[in-house]
Amino acid sequence: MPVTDEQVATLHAQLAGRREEHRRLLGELDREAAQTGYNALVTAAFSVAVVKRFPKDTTPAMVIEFVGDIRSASDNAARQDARTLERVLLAATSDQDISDIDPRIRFQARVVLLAGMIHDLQLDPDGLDRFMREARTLADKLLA
Amino acid sequence: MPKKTLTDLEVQFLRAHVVGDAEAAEQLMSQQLAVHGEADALEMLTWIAFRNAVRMYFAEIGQTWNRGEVVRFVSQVRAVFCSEHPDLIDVLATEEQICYALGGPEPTARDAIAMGVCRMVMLRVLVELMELDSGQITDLLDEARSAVSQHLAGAGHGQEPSDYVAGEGAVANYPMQLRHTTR
Repeated sequence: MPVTDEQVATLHAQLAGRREEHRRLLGELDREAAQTGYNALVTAAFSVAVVKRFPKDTTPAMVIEFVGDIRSASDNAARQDARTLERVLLAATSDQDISDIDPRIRFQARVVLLAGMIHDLQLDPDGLDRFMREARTLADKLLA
Repeated sequence: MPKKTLTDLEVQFLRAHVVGDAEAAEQLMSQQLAVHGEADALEMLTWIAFRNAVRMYFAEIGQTWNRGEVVRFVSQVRAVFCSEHPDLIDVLATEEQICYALGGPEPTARDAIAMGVCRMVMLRVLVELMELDSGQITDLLDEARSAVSQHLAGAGHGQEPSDYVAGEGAVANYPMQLRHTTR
């Protein structure tokens, strides 16, 4: 089953910083479909964002600093585990194995990292729309 | 129970560590353990030197601290000094202890080894970042030594933070980690 419009709208609201709308849409998502569709969409968006935000020769030091920037934004963000975020990001830029990290934690880490990357990319509304289309296309391929 | 005492060897060990002389540090710790059987004042010495170095550094860069600044500082330090060994210091324990040294809340991270290692690593990093010369390092360690001696003599009892002791052996076993802290 491909990614739904509702799933795209939910992630779009989050990445655009519309918290209330995101929370509402997330609550309305079909739980079962979200297990696959929304998960795939977030994973795809994460992958697309990594390619846009990080060059091929990204070093562990760059990842450490990026995660530090995300965690320094607020007390709530500082509670995120730095090593988990770094490892999840490094796994996307190299061949690091993160199979020991719980899938739920991995998903949450990708969401946090994705928001940080989108912030850095400074996308305007059109840019975010294009980004979401790219992510959806990749997610549909992952689900096919 | 014998009274804790701070020895010259413990101070010399910490000095060797902060100047990056791992070989001398290992030898001094071996001597300390051979002569005294333990290094039980070293934890306190390290904590006080670390705490004072943290305060000096943040005062030197004129930065009013908050949790976010400390998080950013630790990530920058790890990026420069520890990116090859990203697990060398526990990130949360390091952040919390720096905040605590600056007057923040007591750390929630209670892993004795993690706390001891982060103090050792960060003390050395701070000395390097502030480019302290030999005389300034002597001053830093003398001040810490004096505070420890006063505390052990009872004069300063209750004036130091209650959790400065990271845990038995956390620092004494540290020389094994020294070789991993070079850039």
